[in-house]
Amino acid sequence: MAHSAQIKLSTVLPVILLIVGIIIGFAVGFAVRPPAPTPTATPSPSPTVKVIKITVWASGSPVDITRVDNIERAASILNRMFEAAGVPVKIEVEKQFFRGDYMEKLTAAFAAGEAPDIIAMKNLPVLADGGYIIALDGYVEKYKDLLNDVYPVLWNAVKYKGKIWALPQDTEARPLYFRKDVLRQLGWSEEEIEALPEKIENGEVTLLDLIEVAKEAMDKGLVQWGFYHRPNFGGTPFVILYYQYGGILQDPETGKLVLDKSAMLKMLELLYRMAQVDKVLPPTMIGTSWRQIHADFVNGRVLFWFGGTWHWAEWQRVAYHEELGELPEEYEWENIGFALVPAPEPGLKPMTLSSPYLYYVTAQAEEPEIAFLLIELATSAPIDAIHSVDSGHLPVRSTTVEQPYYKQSKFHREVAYMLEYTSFEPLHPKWGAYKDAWITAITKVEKGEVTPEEALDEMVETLKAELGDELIIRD
Amino acid sequence: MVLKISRKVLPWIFLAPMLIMIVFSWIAPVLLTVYLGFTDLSSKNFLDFVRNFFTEKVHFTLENFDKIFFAKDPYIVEALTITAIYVLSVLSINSIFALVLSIAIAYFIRNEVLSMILRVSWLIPRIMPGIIYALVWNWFIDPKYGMLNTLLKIVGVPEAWLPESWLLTPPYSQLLMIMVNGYVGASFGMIIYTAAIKSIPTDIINAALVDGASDFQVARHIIIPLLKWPMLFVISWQTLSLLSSYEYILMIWGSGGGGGYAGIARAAKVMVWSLYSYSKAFAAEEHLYGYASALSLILVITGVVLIVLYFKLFGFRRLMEPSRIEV
Repeated sequence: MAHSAQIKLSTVLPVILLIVGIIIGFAVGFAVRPPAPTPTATPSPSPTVKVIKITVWASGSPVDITRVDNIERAASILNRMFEAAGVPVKIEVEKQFFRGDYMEKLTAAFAAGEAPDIIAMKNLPVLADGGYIIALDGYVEKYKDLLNDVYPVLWNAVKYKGKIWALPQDTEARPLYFRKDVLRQLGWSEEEIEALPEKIENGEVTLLDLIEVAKEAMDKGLVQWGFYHRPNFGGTPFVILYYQYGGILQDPETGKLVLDKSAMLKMLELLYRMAQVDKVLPPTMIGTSWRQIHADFVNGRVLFWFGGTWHWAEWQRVAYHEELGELPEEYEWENIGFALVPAPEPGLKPMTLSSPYLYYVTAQAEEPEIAFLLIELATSAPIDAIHSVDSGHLPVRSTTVEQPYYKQSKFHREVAYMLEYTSFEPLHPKWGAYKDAWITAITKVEKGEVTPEEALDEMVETLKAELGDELIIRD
Repeated sequence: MVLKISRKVLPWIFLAPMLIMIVFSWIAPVLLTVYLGFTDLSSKNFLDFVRNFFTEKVHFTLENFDKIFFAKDPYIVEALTITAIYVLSVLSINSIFALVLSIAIAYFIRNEVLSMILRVSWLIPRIMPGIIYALVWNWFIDPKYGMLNTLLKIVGVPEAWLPESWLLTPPYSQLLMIMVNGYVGASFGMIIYTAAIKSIPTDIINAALVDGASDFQVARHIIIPLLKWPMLFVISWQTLSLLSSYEYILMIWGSGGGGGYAGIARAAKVMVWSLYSYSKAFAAEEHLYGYASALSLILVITGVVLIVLYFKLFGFRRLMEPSRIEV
């Protein structure tokens, strides 16, 4: 009985090699695949010119594409300077824009030694601690003459462990939007409606007052809900309310995270009251789809919405309105107003929150100084104005407000004052764990599943276990 | 040129491509998971790690397992409980319900066209892209615009019994998690069982019917005993798959975007072990790869133990023996 098969090697071997080759090819190709660049239309320079390739990655909503486009604009300015000075250098920008978080792709790119030169994102503590980015103090000092118009308050958002790690790319305010048309139906005069933001700013109108207005509008069947807030953490309005009740989130001396039990309890009690007692806020607000939230507000089914300045631009570009589709700005001015987040109760202060987006120079940038110059130019007033107006964000330079392009935006002129009332989230690597515990407490409280006290106790226990020594608890 | 290849070598040549894939896609990740599970790897020391696999900045530690086994992580007990509920419930749908469904479709329904239509209808969620499937569920369960509550009211479920939110109200949220995964998972078992039932020689069934056996007795004493092998396969496969699956939970409970789904999943009590591991590695700002690997390692060990148990329960050796009757 034969124990071997007779096979033509010339037939079998190529087939086996082909299969193995294809598999290995796929595996290797997948593992080392570089991010697909979006090449610019810049023509190739002459061979004598030194070409410096700068890669920039950023993310955001579609209107935030200027986060990468502005680096290209900055490169164009720099190239013209080089040309005028006869410097044989040309910068070419490769840009990649993501819709969501790209930290995983970034770590993979770092592992492959192919990290971009410039990135725009938040996550400063993680990037700094992990060695992904370089400190910029030297360059900031060298080019400080071009940076003296950065809003002083924004420097706090780029400092970590005593160093400057980024330049602010944009910022925003988180206003309370309100429906003017609903207030009119409630019998408010035009003067009263137009005076509301100022009264909120002065502390004459508090959140408690607006809860009463919301109840009235709901009782009269003018709206389905009085208030909407974000469907996830995102800072608004939870951090703002906590700050308004006197809480702090980060100890200025040690940098540790802080849980002020008194402020946290008051914040949870307010949300409980809104959702379970006055019933002006949906108890299942967390987890609601973004589309439903925007559709309900722009169609007038909700009176107050804790949103962000960028939503003003989003409503003009995304068809949320059931009849009009994308909102004309005239419609917004006619029917939608905005103000600071009011003081929760008399004696407290109105406030807003900013969460600046930042430009970093990565540790793998081959020309870090060029990269720095690009981010500096990309945030300079004329280019800052383009991003601010087109994306609905607020500028990072005080001189931007004098730019013609910025001046023509009525919305930006009218929200600019909010930066004087702004606050920031803490810069700490364990802030994510803190937010998770917090949103769990909020979800349970708003649903009435637990009392604010029980939610706070659970949150304290969780944070103690998750943060350990990095947490300070204050009564 | 003619080559003589030993019969012992030849199978390995044909198996080589698959073995290479298994080494790269399963064995290497498992070994890496074991190694990382004993380290404090996070985004803080990740770059040092990729530059030098044995860098001193990545420390060997038992702290990850200390947190897991001594419940120093506040979510461990809850994640374990939710995972047990999730795996047992969905596994029941995917194996037992799928078996009943298959017998009904492949044996009781004699009309081949109708049988095929029913099989295809159960397959639709499987051929649908996962994100579309999750999106459809999100619309379906919406308390205001969705059809689920309306349908339940039509069939007589009192409104007071319906949740304000299927997403956030336990145990409805857990029921939703089970339905979403069970509906798509049942089709897998159904295909395997249906194929096996169709391959049973009709002579055996006809002989039983001639002897006066009822259809129920045929199903009970002929079909089910002959499905032991596919049942072992389906249960084993689905157990491993369920232990590591979280994608539909992530897509449905994280559909709001903007992060923060981990806190929401915890509040809704749908944070299964694998999703918890994923959230520690990729959603936490620190990217705790070491701790997430330790969590995953527990899943791998649990899966292996369960497979061994299934082999014992189903008499794997006897199943591997040659058939004593000519089938």
